[in-house]
Amino acid sequence: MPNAAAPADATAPADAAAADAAAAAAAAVSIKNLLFRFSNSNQSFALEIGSLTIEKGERVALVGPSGSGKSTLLGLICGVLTPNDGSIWVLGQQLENMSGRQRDRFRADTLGVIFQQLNLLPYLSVLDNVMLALEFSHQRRLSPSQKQEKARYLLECLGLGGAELAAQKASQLSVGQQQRVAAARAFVGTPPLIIADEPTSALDEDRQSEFLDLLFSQQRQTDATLLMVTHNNRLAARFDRVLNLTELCDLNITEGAGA
Amino acid sequence: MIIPRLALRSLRNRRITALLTVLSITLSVVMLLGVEKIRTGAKTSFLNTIAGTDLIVGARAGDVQLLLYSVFRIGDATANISWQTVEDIRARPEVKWVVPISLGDSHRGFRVMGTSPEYFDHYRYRRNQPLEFSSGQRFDDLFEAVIGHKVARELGYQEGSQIVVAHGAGRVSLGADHGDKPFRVSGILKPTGTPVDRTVYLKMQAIEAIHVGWERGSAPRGTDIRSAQQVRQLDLAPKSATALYVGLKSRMMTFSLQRWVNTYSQEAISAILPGVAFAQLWKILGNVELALLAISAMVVVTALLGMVTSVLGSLNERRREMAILRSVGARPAHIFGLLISEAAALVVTGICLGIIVSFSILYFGRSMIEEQMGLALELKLATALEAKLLLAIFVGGMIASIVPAMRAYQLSLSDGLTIRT
Repeated sequence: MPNAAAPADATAPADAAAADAAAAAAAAVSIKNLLFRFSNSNQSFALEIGSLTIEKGERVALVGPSGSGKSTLLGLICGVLTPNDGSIWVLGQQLENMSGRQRDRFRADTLGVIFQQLNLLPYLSVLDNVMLALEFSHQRRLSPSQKQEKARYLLECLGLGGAELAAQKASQLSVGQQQRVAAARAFVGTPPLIIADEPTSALDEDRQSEFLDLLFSQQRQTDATLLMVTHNNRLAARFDRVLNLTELCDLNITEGAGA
Repeated sequence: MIIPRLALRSLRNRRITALLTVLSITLSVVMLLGVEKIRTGAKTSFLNTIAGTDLIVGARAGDVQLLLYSVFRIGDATANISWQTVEDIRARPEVKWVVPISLGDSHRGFRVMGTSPEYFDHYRYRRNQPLEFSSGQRFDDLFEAVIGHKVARELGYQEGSQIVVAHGAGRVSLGADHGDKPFRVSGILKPTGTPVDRTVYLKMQAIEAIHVGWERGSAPRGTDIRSAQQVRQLDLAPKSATALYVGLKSRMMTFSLQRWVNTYSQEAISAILPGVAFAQLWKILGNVELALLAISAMVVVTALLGMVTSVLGSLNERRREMAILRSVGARPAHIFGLLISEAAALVVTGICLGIIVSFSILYFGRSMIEEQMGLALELKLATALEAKLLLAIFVGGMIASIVPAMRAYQLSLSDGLTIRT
C-alpha cells in the first residue's frame, strides 16, 4: 500500500523527518508516497510513485510508454491535479496543502509550460502570446514596456527576431516557429521550473535537435530546472538524467466498466 | 485587465458568429423598444384625444359607446337629444360652455359633424393644445365646411374646394346625397393625430339646411324640394343634437352636474367623464398592446438563447485555448470571467446598437409615423421604463451566459493542462 509508510520510517526519530522535509523543500521537485486515482465510467487509472526528487538546475527527461501517466505526473507537478495521497513539493512549496487558487498563482509565478503543439492562442499576436505568461503572475508582472522588452529579447534568442514577426497572428506561423514562440513564453519572466510535454514531437528530426539546443541554451542562461517528456531516446540521452516512469512507479490501468 | 482584452480579441477572431449574435440582439432590442415606443405613444395619443372637456352628454347609453360615437365617430347614437334639453343644460349654473355636435352624414367615407363655431375654441387635444388651421379659417357662411388634415390630404382638397355631403355614414352614397347643396371648404385643420383629422365640420344650421324635406327619412320629392337659396330663408335653428361637449366653471362641479344629467326626467340622457371612459376603453385595448410587448420580450429571449447556444457550441473547440490559459496560471475563475466578458461584450454591443438604430428610426421616421398613423411619438433616448427593459436584457444576457461559463469552468477544472480536442 502506498500510504502505509515503510517500517523504518515509522520508527525514525522526529529530526530525521524534519531533515527529509528540509531536503524536499530544497529540491526543485520532491515526491513522496504519491497516489493519484482517476476513474470514470469506462476507465480507472491509478498512479503510484514511492519517491522522486529532481534537483534545482537539473535537466531531466521523462520517458515511458503512452498512457503510463507522464501527463498526469506533469499535471500533478503543475498543481492542476491533486493527489489522493502522499506529498508533492515543488520549489519549496508543499502543493497538496495549498488551495486551488494558491496553486494557480504558484504556477503563474514559477512555472513555464510547453505543450506538444498548438501552444498558442490563435487570436493573439506572437508578442502577446509570449507576454501572456506574465499576465497572471504577481512576481513576473512587469511594466508594459519591460514586458515587451523581455518578450522581444526572448523571441530574438529563439531565432524569431523582428517586429514584423512579433506582430503576426500566432496562427500564421509554421509549427516549428510556434514551438519556439511557446518556448519563449515558457522562459519569459525567468520561471525557475520549465515543464515541457513532448515539445518536439511535432517537429522533424533536424528541428528536434535544434529546438532542444535552444531549450538548453535558455535553461543555462536562466539556471532553470527543466523537466521534459519525450519519446525520443536520442534526445533523452542529452539530458542530465533520464527518468523512466514505468520503473519509477506502480501503475494500474483498468479499462472497461465495473473495474 | 487581461481577461476583457482576451475576450475582445477572441470575439474579433470569431467575428462572423459574433456579428450575427450582435445583430440578432440588436434587432430584438429595436423591436422591443419600437413596440414600447408605439405602445406608450398610442396610449398617450389615445388618452389625449380630447382634453378640456369636462363632460360629454348624449342619449342614455353605455359610457364606452357614448365615447366611441361622440369622440371617435365610431358607431351611432341610439337617439338624439332635443334642443330643449340642450338649452336646459346650458342654463345650469355649473356650465361654462356647451358645444353641440350632430352626426349622421358623411363625405366619401369621412364622417360629417355639425357643430357650432365655438367647437374650434373649446376642443383641446394632447395636453390642452387647441386646434389650428393650416389654411383658411372656421366656417362663417351656411354652406362652408372645415375639413381635417387627412380629409384634405386623401381627397386632395384645398381651401375653396367644393364638396358634397352624402346622407348616412356609408362610404358609398347610394344616390342619396345632398348634391343640390354643395359646400365650399373654408379652412383646413393642422394634423392632430386624433379623429379630428378625419372629420368634415359643418355648422349646426347647415345640417338642418341639407335635411330640409328629408323629415320622412328619404330624399325630398316634388314640392318638398328647396334650393340652396330658398333654404337660406328658412328658420334653421337646430332642433336636436347627437351629443354635447360641456365645459364647467369648476371641475369640482363635475359630479353634481353628472348626477343632475343622469336623473334628468324630460329625456333619457347620460353624461360621461371623458377620462374615466377612456380608461375603461384602454383596459380593453391595452391588453392587445401588452400582448405585443410580451411577444417582443420573447424575441429578446430567443436572441439571448441563440447567443448561449453559439457559445456552448464553441466550447469544445475552445478547450485547447482554456488549457493554454490554465498553463500560464489562469484560474478556472478566469476562464469563467472570459466567457462572461465575451457575453457581456456581445449583449452590450447589441443593446447599444439597438438604441442607436431605434433612435435613428424614431428621429428620421417620426414625422412620417405621425402623418401616416397619427401617432405622436416622443423623441426621447430612453424613458425610465425603456431603461428598465434594457437593464433587464443585460441582466438576462448575463444570467443566460452563466450556463456556458459554468460549463467552461468545469471543463477547465477537469481537463487541467491536458488538451482534448
